[in-house]
Amino acid sequence: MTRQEFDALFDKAGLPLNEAQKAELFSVYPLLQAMLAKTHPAMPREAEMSVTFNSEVQ
Amino acid sequence: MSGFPTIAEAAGQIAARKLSPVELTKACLDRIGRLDGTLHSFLLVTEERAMADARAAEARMMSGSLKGRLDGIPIGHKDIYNTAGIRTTAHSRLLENNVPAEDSVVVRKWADAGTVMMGKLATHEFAIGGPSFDLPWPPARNPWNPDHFTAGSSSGTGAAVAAGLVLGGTGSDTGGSIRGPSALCGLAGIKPTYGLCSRRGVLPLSNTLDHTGPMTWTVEDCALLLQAMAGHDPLDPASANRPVADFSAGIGKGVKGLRIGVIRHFHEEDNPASPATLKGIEGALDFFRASGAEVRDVQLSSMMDYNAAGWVILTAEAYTIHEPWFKTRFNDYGELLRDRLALAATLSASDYVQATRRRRELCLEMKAAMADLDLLVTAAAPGEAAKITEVPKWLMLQKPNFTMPFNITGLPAMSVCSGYGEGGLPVSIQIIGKPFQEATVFQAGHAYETAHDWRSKRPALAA
Repeated sequence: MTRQEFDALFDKAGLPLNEAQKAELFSVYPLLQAMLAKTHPAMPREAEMSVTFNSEVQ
Repeated sequence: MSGFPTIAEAAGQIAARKLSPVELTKACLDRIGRLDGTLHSFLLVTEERAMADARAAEARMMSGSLKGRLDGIPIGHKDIYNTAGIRTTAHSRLLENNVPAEDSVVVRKWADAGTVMMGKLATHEFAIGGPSFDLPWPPARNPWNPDHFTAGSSSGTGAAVAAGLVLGGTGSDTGGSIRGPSALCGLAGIKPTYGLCSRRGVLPLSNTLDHTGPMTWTVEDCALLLQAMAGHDPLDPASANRPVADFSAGIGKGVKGLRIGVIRHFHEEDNPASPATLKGIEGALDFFRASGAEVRDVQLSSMMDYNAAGWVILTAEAYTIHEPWFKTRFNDYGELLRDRLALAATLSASDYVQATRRRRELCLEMKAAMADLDLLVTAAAPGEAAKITEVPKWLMLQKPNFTMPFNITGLPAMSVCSGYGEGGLPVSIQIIGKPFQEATVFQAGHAYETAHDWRSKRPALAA
């Protein structure tokens, strides 16, 4: 993701970050990307969410 | 009163009319007056309320109508627990003048048990932003060395219990916020099974990861406080509708016959722990073996896999909770909360959904690993507390913590002091049980704790 694309996400979210804040967050974004990669191992298409709704216990 | 009675000791003395709840409360207030200018563990000391509670407990003592073992025991509440008519701030400028109309369920349960409420305890801002120096109140300091961090987010509870300002207190734990400060302040602190204790009336961080639980000086005390906070709450959608066990049932029974798994790769490879922490773990395992337990290694996914799913879910849920204020009062937050959660604005819906799918896989993996085990053991923290000015802002992204795997899986997990490191600050082990098997966690923790001398030493500052 380019810095421009990264900044656009905050603009879309409506967060009033200043330039220094955006720059710092962009510098650590690769660490978050590494985490996201770890949540994406190969898994069956049918894999369920941990929060799947169960009407019997609601 | 002098010294530092545990809850169990104080309860015994109160029941025998050898200890006055009023005198016990005055002694805690005196200690708060002497030490909290250094420790900053309290955001608010409720002295009038404490003395009223203590006098009521004393009257019950004298009339032979004590409510139970917690009657007359001084406690404190993390300042994300709503307290009726008493300011509840989350240690944040955003709630600086917030006065709830009702108690949280846990606060009400402990009050009904006769506890003496001493006040509201420091936290990381909304249980995630800390240690921060840009909030209306300073961060809590570690009584073992006030230049050092307490860990968080239940920072005030950690400091106050270790220094003997209260005999126990509430914490909350979304990724380790009970077990982290318990480890670095040398306490026993348990994150119970998800759903065992009500979260209602506690300011949320992450709905599917938040847990409430107690922090105390000893394992036995932890079981006593948990007993008074557990139970079904029909208005908490996560609350488990099942009978509450006797959490002290295993106290004193030893560990003979228990089957204990060691997640060795967590503390030796995934986030290598300090020599003192490793020594504590190996010492505990030697003790368990020598006491008749069966000990063997278990292999799980890497600790970072658990942390990755946990951090994505935590920040996505927390961001959602804070989003309205982020859009209108962004700069009223402290820097640490603001920046840590702002990063979640970059997450997509599929990032969150995928993390929850991974969470289910990890829960199944952990369940399979524990199928023929009673307990797991690993570190609770990598080592002694760092200096409070040297805590990395992005540590949670850089290194996996030892506690998040059990928020992800919802298993009961407890920190137990396992000695002291080179700097003289505490180190800790973590004991994990099967769902709703807190009594077994306490059984092993108590056996280990009482076979060692760690509880005889309090921070020098408090002595």
